[in-house]
Amino acid sequence: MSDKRDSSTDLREERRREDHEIVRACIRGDEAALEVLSDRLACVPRILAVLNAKMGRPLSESDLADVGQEVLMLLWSKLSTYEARARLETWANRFCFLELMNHVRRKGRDPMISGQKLDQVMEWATARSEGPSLYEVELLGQGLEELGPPESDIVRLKHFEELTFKEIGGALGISPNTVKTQYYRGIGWLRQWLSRRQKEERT
Amino acid sequence: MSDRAKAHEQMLASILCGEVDPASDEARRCLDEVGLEPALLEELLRVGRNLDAAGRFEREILAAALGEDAEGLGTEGLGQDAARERVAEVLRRLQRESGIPASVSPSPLAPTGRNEPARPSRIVWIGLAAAAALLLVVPFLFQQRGLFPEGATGDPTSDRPQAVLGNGIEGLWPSGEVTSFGAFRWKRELPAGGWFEVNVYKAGRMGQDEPLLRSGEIFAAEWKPEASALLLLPPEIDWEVLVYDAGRMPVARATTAATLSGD
Repeated sequence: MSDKRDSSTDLREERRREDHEIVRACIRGDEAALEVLSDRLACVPRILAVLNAKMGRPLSESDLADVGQEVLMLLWSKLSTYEARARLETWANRFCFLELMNHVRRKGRDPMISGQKLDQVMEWATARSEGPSLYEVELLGQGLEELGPPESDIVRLKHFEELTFKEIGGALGISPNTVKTQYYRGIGWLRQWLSRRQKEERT
Repeated sequence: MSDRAKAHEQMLASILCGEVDPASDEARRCLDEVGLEPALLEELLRVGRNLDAAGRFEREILAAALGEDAEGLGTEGLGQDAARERVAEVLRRLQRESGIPASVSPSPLAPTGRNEPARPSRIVWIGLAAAAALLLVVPFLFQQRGLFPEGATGDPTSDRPQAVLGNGIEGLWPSGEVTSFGAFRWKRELPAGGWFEVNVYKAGRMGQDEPLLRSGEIFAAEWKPEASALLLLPPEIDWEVLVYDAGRMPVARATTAATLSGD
């Protein structure tokens, strides 16, 4: 079991390195790499369509096409900052979600969208809907950006990629105990940041 | 930080991510010892649960978008070929119009050596270390003797410090316009037996007033003041980080200014 997880972690890391190489080649102006990048980012319109459908289709097809262009422009401008902390599709997905929420806000459809509980959006039937709202998920994403590495990497690897502390330690080249310490501090910092942002929203 | 305090943080991490039941004897012993309020523990657990939900959300959206069969989710007409052509067209246009994005070489998450450049020889390292030591010590001695004005910057029109680096300290954060102050971070190795100190001032008052916040001795390249202390800071601050060696002498200093953005 442990061997299986180790090899799956190795594979994940190997793929991230491949993604990193694609981006570096694009930055160097490699035409073939740009074609590969286009293949990989073909997920963008599909991610947006899925998100829009899950939220009850607040945006029209033409709105979605606009958001798609904005996401691609954003990804292009951020290409040099891609550090392979996540695979290209996962990286793109985070921009898709935040840009879609921004667009919904600009369209004045925010109140009915942001407050939606994730449990309902994703049809995760729970007896009591205690999960976060879309707005809280958006804030968590922003908070992780503010937190920055190494804590944000550790928190993402733990909750988004479901790695164990030992696997995270292996991926980052630090001991599992250091991972735990940084994870705890990261969660503590996020709690304070979220609480402050929510207070600001209320006032 | 003591080994015991670290052990507590590690236990709390295990509790927060569900590896250890908060009702178990070992967890309760730890919670009692650190005096963590139940309400605070619940808030921390909630952050963890929400992160789990956000992670699951991300995985499911990606699985649906990348799956072969995403019909009924609005992806009709968005087969891989159509989506790819649409994206390729935009990227080609971006490349034509704006050229290649800034050629900053990104670094992978955890280098294994496969893509690393050849290591410099030992002699080169020694030369670099000597040059770095000179860069680090000379400006500081000059400043100690009043040859550099306090908070000297590259911007003569401003009396507030820009990032004043070059003495071995890099990557100061927060710096410039930020959405929150959060943690204070920098990049610099700690001298053996030494420590860092951070002082935060009201904008324009560095060297004139007492600091609004003072870290005391810290041993990591970051400082996270209590949230309650951060809330008391004005929206514009100047701050400095000092590096002390084992002989209690300051060997490096960097300053910068940060402003909370309106959003």
